[in-house]
Amino acid sequence: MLILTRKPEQSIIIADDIVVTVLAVDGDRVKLGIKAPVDISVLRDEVRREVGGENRRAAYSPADRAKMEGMLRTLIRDP
Amino acid sequence: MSTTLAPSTPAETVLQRTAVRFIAGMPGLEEYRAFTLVPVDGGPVYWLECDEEPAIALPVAEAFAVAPQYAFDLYTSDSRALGITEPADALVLVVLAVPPGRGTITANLFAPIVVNRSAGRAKQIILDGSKHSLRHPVGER
Repeated sequence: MLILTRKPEQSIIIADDIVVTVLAVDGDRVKLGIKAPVDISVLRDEVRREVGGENRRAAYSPADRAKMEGMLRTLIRDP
Repeated sequence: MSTTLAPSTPAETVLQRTAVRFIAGMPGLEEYRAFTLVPVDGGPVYWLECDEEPAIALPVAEAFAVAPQYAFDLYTSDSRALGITEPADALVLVVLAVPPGRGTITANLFAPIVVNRSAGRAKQIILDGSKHSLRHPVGER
């Protein structure tokens, strides 16, 4: 991992067109400004983790699948 | 410019087993890229079975079949990476959550899986900043 030290108002530039600026540091909170092309997705890590938790909970083994098919069919009949 | 995916997108149910290849691993399942979409009674509900790990299959549904009001914009970077040039190229799936025992089945509208229908290329898109729910109710058990 690349580790850089920045002060408020200092920035780093990623791949020519993404600029991450430290706007303010207040105790344990760091306010970042991110300037990136509109088609670049910027995500907070915990949001991705939350989706990952949902995905893992939705992953079923073959034994469970047979039991669930009846339930899935209720959605087909009554979407 | 972005591509808006909405129910007006012609729905064409996938009736056969279809190979799906993730261009980026799904969150929580990053190590797996190769899946097969297996219809339950011809759709719009499917098992998304992991080819590399038989113990993993996710119940998914065609998004617009279970959530007729659903719509979102696809980032240009994602539509380009998936090879989607118009809405009809995309099959939009949502992961279902089934409660143990009785309860409400929910769909993850916050993180839809967008599949290029002809190429099978797929990505789970996280709609951060949107109001779409991680657990949108779609049916009673």
